[in-house]
Amino acid sequence: MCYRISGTLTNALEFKNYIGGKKVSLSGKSFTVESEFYPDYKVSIAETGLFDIKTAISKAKTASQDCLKLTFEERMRILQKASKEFSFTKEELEYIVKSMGMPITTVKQLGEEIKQMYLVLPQMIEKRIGVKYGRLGHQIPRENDLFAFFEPVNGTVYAVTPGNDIRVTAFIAAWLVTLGLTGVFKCSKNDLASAQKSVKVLVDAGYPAGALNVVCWDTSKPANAKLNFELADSSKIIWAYGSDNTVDTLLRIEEKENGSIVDHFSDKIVLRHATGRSAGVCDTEIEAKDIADMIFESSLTWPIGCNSLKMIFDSSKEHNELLQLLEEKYSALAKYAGDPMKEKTKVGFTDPKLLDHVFGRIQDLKRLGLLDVKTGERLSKIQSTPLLLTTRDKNSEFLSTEFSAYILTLKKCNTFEEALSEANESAGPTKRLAVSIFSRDEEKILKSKVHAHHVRRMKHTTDIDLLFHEGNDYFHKLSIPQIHRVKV
Amino acid sequence: MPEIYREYSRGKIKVNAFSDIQKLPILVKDTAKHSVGFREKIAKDPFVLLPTDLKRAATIYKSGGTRGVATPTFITAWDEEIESMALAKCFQYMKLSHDNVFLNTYNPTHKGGAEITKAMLSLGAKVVPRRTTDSAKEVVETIKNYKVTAIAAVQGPITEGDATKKGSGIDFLSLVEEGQDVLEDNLETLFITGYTLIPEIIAWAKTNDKKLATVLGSSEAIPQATSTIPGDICKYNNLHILNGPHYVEVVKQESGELVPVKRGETGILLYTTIAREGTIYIRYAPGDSAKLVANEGECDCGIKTPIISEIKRIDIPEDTIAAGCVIG
Repeated sequence: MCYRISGTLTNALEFKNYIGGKKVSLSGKSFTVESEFYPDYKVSIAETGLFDIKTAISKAKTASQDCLKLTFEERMRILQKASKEFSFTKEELEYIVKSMGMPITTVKQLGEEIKQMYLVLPQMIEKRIGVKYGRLGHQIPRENDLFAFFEPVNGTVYAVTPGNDIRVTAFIAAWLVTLGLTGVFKCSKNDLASAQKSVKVLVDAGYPAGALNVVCWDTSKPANAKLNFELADSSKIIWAYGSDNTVDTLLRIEEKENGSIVDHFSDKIVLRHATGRSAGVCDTEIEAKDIADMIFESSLTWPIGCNSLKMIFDSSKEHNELLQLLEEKYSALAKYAGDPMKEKTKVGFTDPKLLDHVFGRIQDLKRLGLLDVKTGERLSKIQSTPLLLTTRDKNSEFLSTEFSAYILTLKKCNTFEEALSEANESAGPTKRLAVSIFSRDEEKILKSKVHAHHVRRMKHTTDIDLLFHEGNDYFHKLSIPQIHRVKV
Repeated sequence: MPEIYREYSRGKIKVNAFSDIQKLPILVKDTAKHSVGFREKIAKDPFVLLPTDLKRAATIYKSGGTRGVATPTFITAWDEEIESMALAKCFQYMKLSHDNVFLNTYNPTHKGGAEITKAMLSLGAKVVPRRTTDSAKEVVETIKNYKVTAIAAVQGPITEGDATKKGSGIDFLSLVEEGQDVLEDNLETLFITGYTLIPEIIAWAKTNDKKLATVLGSSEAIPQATSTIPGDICKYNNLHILNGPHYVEVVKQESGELVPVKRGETGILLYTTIAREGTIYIRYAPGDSAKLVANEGECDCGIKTPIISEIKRIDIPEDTIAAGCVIG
């Protein structure tokens, strides 16, 4: 059963591939994507075929030479210009909102973050590494005759971007332009507008057409799997979002008809982004009023994002006060649940299958006395008001699983050590993406083991570290040093 | 006449006009219910297709060879000349001329490869043959260095994995991968063969504003049909049947007889090598089907012959009336 928002059939946008600075469709095929939130809204997407892929690969390879000729300052100017020009049209905003179910105000906010990324990333790299005569490099500290200059890795990038965060393509593109790399992006069918806009604005600003290409295909067709392998084989760097299992199955391992296995990742530089399940750990002495807003904002601003805060392990003395503050905030926000296309909406839609699962589990666990619902109710198949849950069960799935919904689960802990230990254990073997530690005791934090890629101290889990993500120091993964020894 | 026509060389049927050819039985590769094929005979003696009265030397060109047995066609220098001239005419229909620098990626030892080069030379074009050791990358370098404006390449269906290297030509897709920019900057015309022009290559040509055409031919008979540029009905995969040097028909079975198909109908493709010193094929069914999409005179391009399309490899139905090859 579909929930109807509008009664008119809308075929709002048609997307082609973006290859070599042009809209291209060589397969002659397309597929229709319907919004699961707005059943009358659909878009037509040109299906990428092998000819499109080969054209994109060729363009990216050829553009490499032109990109290398640009100085760092020129590349930074391109990003600055792109930042100024970046904006979503009305149709693009509609597509993003109706594809993701997120409120239009938040989508616009993320659009602003894209503009910031284009401005800030090259500045951060310049500050960290240094620039001389247009090249990234610096003198090695305490060595007066030793310098390191950094060249981009030789080869193109194949990036597979997710459908839950409109900033990802821009993030990767910002890196590529800053370093002078080229690539092909395979984006989600729900993210075409932002992906293509993020790339096009850079090409329009002067980055070589052909350096950045965007393709998309219907991943439900098994025959299309070979397109991934073609792109992986042609690239040096693979930048992939998705669980390790998904990435390995779709992009890495191919079983041939004769039974042999091919590993398409061998000899590649692979940047994985497999995790989320961001959590918070509250220290004993921390005051509820100092952290309630950070927790609230981290969990509910963009709940489908990988760094959205999903669970809190709270050892604070003010646990009840914190809970009460959060209940008030969550209840207040509930009034703003509605149609994400409306500006005043702050709580959007959620995948109906996910909501079915979440509410089903809540019901089961409530019956067993393992879970309490402080706020939140189901409004429709595709919407609920924000859920605030508490549990006494340290093994609860609501403490270890990332549900891309408006949801936060709290567990009371006796001590900071217990809170951190439970946060680490419930993460499982894979690290959490981010853990916000709400504590002012630096020594305690640094002496503790935190099973996460990022540690935010008194900061939102949703703060983005542009230079690092999920165990990757991007600069050193994407560049090669050239060492200069100079006669002094 | 080749030995396979021994039965008919006794003068039982007189052929004075094309319509008489239509009375002759068809020749097939494989023996079936009503048909006697020559494949088994060739497997024992490949010279059964050599005319017994041929006095000139002949080159033996072997076809692709499905089921492990290639068909050897005996071709004299004169036959090559005739076919090359006919191919040159097709190239003229594609607006190729002495102004072109033409890169032939076909293997020059392949009959098509040799005749393509001859055809373009006869138009006065500069021809750059691909060395058999040249990879796609080296071909792209040649296009760039010699400012090649037209190219002969192959492109089979990409769903079949590596593109079929028909005639050992370079597949166009590998050229795209190696040098899309070079192709965009230099090429004006693509001559691509491979049964049909796949939709992707048509889209590529349109997107990059390049002329594209193809010719139907095989090592047994080149050319049989051609598309033209700019073309009216006869664009891309819609090919004008050529009345020389080979007589081409599309027939179907009806009431126990083989009759020409009507417009819109699909039938078996036959050809007769009427201007040939070497191996003569009379109403030979190589195993292709075609659809008649336009009758004589319907196309405004200037060529009056009928137009066929949707050429596919098929298995000749078991009960096809053939009996063109009566082996003693």
